[in-house]
Amino acid sequence: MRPRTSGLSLQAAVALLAAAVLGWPLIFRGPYPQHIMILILLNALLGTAWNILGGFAGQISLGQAIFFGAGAYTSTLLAQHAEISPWIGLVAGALVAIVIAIAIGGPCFRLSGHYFAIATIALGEIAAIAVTNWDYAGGAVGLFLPVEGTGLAQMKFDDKRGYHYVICALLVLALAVTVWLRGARAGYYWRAIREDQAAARSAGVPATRYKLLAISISAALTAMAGTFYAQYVLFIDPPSVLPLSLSIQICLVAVLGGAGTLLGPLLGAAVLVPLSAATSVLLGGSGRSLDLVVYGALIMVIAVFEPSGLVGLWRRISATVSRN
Amino acid sequence: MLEVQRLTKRFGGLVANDAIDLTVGEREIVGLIGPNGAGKTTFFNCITGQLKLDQGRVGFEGRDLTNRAPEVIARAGIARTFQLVRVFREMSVVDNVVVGAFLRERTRQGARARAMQALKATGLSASASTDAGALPVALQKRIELARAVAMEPRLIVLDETLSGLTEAETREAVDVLRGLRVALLVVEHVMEVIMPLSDRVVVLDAGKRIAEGPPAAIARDPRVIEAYLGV
Ligand SMILES: Nc1ncnc2c1ncn2[C@@H]1O[C@H](COP(=O)(O)OP(=O)(O)OP(=O)(O)O)[C@@H](O)[C@H]1O
Ligand SMILES: [Mg+2]
Repeated sequence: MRPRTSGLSLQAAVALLAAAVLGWPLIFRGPYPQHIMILILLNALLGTAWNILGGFAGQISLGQAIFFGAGAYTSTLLAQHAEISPWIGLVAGALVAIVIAIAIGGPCFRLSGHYFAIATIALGEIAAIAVTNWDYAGGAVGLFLPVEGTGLAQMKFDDKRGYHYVICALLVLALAVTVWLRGARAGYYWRAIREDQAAARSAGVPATRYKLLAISISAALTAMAGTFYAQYVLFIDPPSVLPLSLSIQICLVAVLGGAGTLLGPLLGAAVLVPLSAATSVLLGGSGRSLDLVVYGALIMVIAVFEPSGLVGLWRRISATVSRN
Repeated sequence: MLEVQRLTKRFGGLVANDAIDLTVGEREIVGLIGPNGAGKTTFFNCITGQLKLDQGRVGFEGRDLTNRAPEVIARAGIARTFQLVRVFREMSVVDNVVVGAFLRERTRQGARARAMQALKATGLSASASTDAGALPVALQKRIELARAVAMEPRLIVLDETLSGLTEAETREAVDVLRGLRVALLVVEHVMEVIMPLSDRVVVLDAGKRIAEGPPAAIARDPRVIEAYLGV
């Protein structure tokens, strides 16, 4: 049986952590620590969304940037051309992402294992090229977000605190969805599909339908993160919201922390974001392609040595400690 | 209840199943035997939707299930086990069975209750929270059986679920199977296991159905003896 921390102390730790995250922008007044925390929460959200598809249902996506971009572009175009609120844009972006997800999942779920992952890489690159050549969406130049004042209704804020609490709320939504589905029929079916799809189908699991459910939820949450990102940065273009490096980073956040666990993506984001901030300071410059190499290498190391990520490492250590 | 008509399956030039007819009645226990490579597993995979048949028809309780998806066939009331055991290794024993139970239940509480019953019926209650992959193969086979039972099937097809078990384990498993009160189609290539269990036996050899009848008659049938001894 798996070693478990006792329920109470785990609850206490989570409560403490939540309090620290909520209090963060009140304690740290400087824009830089606030910015880093927002990036951690954004990546935690993206990793949590990936985890539903990749961790639970076992379908490794390396194309999450498609959904992120779908959210960012949908809400931005709606704001630009029809002055539609980003909150409505957030929902519209999620819906667009679901449609794209189903269009991708339909054919790609026929592919198994690594072929699915490779297909998502290819589709992500195609999406980036398509948007780059799409003038209405700003093409290679990108889009500036229209700023008609700030406040919660505009999802734009004069200081980072507002953004901090919006991303907190989105992350809580994603975690709540995960907790709910994990304990429901979908959660059992996803794990069964991940372990052995043929056996699952023979036990009555409509595998394709449940994989489409997983990719749809994952896409919708990822698109919401995309809309948030656009409001935060106020500028989007294909290299910032549709790059392969983003898709790989999202995968890494979840895999590093522990795929298929609730807290894994949070842990992964908390480690990876500061690490990547530190290395880009150290190595200087944009370092994008270097990031990719490092990320790829990290994914391989984890896959070989600790497939259940930091959460798995933690469980092992705490088991050893409690035994001694 | 199960009516298979002229089921034919080819792999390239090899005819693995050649126009096989087979029926299973309500609560009947039918044994399907034959030497290695006779086509028993192929026949199973065609019935349960893992393989597409080239010709023939699979009917079940008046429905046509020919070439339907495995999950549709499961819902129609046919559950199966696999010759090479296939449990969800990193899930607990009870969670393995809960997956099957969700076919008939909507809530987790309902599915768990149904799964616990199936574990009790198959004598697995004590291992409920162990990871399935950590158990010996004999018990994994029983998990497959419990998963099938939890699906509330009208027919269970068992592909060599009994082989590789010790004598005592086999006897136990046979008792479990008899207690289920569903129709069974049981594949074995060891005759000793299947004869006392079956109401009727069908013999395959090299893709063809060569004999059918009550176990005692089959055991004396010269064609069957020849197929098995290869004379
Ligand atoms: N996927 C496949 N592709 C090609 N040939 C196959 C395939 N599956 C089975 N066969 C062949 O079909 C024949 C029947 O195989 P099958 O597995 O159905 O036999 P079996 O009666 O179950 O044998 P065993 O007692 O060894 O389990 C064999 O000759 C086998 O090599
Ligand atoms: Mg076989």
